[in-house]
Amino acid sequence: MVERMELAPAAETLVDLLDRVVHRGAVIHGDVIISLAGIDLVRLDLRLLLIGIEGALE
Amino acid sequence: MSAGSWLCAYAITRNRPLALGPGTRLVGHRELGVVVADVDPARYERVDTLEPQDATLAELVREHDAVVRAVFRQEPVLPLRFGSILDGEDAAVRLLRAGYEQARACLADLDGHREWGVRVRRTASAPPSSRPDAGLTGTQYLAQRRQKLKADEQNRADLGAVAERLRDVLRRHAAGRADRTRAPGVLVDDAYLVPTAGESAFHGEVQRFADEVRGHGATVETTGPWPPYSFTGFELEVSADG
Repeated sequence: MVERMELAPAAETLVDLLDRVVHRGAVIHGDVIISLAGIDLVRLDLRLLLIGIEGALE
Repeated sequence: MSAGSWLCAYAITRNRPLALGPGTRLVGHRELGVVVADVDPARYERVDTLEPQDATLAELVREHDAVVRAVFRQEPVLPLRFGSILDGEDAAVRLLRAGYEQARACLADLDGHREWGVRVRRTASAPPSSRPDAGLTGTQYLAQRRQKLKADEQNRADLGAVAERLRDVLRRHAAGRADRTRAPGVLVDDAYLVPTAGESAFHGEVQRFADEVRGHGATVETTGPWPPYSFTGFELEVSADG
């Protein structure tokens, strides 16, 4: 059954992965965490990201 | 704080023996553990300036995902957000102590579940009958065109209704659903937290809807299984004396 299912195109697979790893998951606050310069800025606007990647691969 | 002891934290899991890749280890506290690796902060330098499709960012993200998945194959996992860098092993233990009950309850809820993505996407719309048939009068052409627009509108409404039915049915097979940002032309982009025992029923429903959705000029795609990234969206606060 699984092999009959349609799979997302490769560009979107990367977007799916980035979205989950970069935008989701538990966030830690407090002095145990080291703030890396700019790491928050990696939380890109996903809409831009979707268009950006699809555009880049065309 | 010394840069030599910086640890990248990937996920919280149960404090049990785990087969982990080279460089990765579990720092435990009572029943919980956090999976970490020594990290060279230089690797994250200027990460904010990278384009999303840049190989460096993709590589870091894939590494993160690989560690989370290795744990996920063995134990329930609570993924931490990309770029969670801890100030040494003491900090890792303080994190577990501060978030203990919250994390333990979350792991119990996630146990025996996997995340699946479901997307309904409009396929390229049928090419418009571009040139008016030579035999048609202007009035006939306009009438035909109105009919076509009306049919398209009806089809869009029908597809929307089918998509909502699909979402309702899938939700009943899942412990949770998370909406995701939708790209243009995408009607549904959801993540479902599905009990492993119910996965074949869940995919069976997707299959049952596939033909109907296709009949309306769209497709259903699934992605996964994923570790429960979309279902761990909480914040762990570690106070100064935590």
